Parts: sequence; structure tokens; C-alpha cells
Amino acid sequence: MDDETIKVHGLKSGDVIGPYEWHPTTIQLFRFSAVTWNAHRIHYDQAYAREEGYADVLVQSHLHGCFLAHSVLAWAGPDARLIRFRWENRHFAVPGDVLTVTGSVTLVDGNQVTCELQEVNQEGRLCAPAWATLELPSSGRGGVG
Amino acid sequence: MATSFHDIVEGLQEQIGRSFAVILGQVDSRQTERLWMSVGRFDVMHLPRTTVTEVVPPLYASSIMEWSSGVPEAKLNFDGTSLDQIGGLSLGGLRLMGVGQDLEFLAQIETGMELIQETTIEDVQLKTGKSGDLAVISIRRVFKNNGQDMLRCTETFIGR
Repeated sequence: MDDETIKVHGLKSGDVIGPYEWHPTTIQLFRFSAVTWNAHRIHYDQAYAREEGYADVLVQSHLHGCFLAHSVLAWAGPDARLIRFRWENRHFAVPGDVLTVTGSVTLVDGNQVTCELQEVNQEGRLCAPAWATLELPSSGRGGVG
Repeated sequence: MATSFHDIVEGLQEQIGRSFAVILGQVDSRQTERLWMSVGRFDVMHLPRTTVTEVVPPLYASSIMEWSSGVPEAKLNFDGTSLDQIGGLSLGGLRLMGVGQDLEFLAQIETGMELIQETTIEDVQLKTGKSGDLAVISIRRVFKNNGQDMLRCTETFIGR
């Protein structure tokens, strides 16, 4: 990373990302299951979810990933492009939870920015950490937060 | 005689390294728009159409569980999952829970592209958790268009 990079993008290691709030609902889970053709009952059948020991239907693993990916893309702006993205599901979430994504820049290398992210619920419990590398346009970040 | 959990895991371990290619078909613009909508990225929906329709949601390809019309309900597991849950691989009826993905975006997948998915079981490890034995399964999928790798995804599942 050189000084010129920092000037071009105005970004440096430690810069804060977010917060971005997500409010999963039963309708959202149903629609996400429908569009991904995920018929697992744990995502739309509350009685079944309770049989499995959960209070409600569960947010899909991939929807957690989408919350994280779209948070960092919202921060980076519409012309940014993901190069690498990884997330891990650590704790379940249910409709009604408030999932907050925050993060920070860990590396700026040319027009590539690497970030680490966390999705936590309203109790502060980590639901999913993530790591992203993005390619920014030469004009820099055009995000909203 | 019913197949035991350990037999299923051993069967999967024997498949480590084998690859299966499946023609997924064309990336559909309506489906990509519905994925944007279901995630809640309304702001993206309002971007110029060239951005929205040509730029597919990044997790689109790796999130879809079934690209074909699927199987009749009677052939699904009790929990609604399919016996062949990923890329045509036979997973022996294991109940899978996704625990994350590692994605490399090599080129932009766009609507109208024809995708082929190459699936490989990378690793299967038998472990013992609080609720008993489980298998940690790592599956690598490569999404290709015209022979070019577009997206590489390694996904980890817990199988019970």
C-alpha cells in the first residue's frame, strides 16, 4: 500500500464499515427459499422448526451470506466488484431478529480493498463473520454509509 | 438393512476427488431480480437496468439449491430436502446444514449466460459433537461459461 493509493480511494486500514441493519421476516425467508428452490422445512415450517428445538424458522445460511455481501457492496458502491468473499455461519437467526453488519478495512492494495465483517444479532451474539476483497473503480468508493 | 450413518460417510469419503459436471442452463433475469428483491436490496433494484439485469447478485449461482424442476414431493426427505442435494451428488440421505462458503469471483456472471457446474467432494471428516456423530463435508463447485471459470465456491456442510 502506498500513499498514492490512500489518496485515490481515501481509504486506509481500520476504516469502519457500516452499520447496516437487516430485519429478516418470515415472508423474506419464504421468498428466498422459493427463488433458490430450497425446500428445507426449517426455513418456512414453524412447527417443524420447533420440533427441531428452535423458537422459529431459521434464516438460511445463504441469506446470512447475502446480508454480509450486500452490506459490504452497499458500502463500496454500485461499481465495486467482489473478488473474494467468505463467510461462516456460527449462530442461527430467526424472523424478528435484528442483524447488524459492521466491519473494517484491513488492507488497501492498489484498487483492491480487503475487509473483515461481522453480523451480530440484537443481543450482540456473533451470527456470521465474513471476509471480503473488493475491486473498486479508479474513482474510488461510491457507497452510502 | 438400513444404511448406517457411518456407512454413508465412508461412501462419501470414497468419492473424495471425483468430479461431476451438470449443465445448469441459462441465468434467468427474472430469477436474478427476484433474488435481489428477496434479499431486500431495493436500492440495487433502482439502479439503471444495465447494472441490475446484467450484474447478477454475487451469491446467486452458489445459493440456488436446485437448478432443474426438482423431484416430486414424495421423493423428498421428510425435512423437505432432496436426496441429491448438490450438483447431482448422491449424499445418501444425510441431513445437511450449510455453515458457510468461500467464493472466488473470476468473471462477472450475467443474465443469459449458460452455466455448467462442476462439483467435487473435497473432504469428508467424521467428528463427534455434543449431539453425537456428524460429518464435516467440504464441496467445491466451479461455475463455468463457455469453458471459462466464472465462480469457484467451496461450501462446508455439517451432515447428520
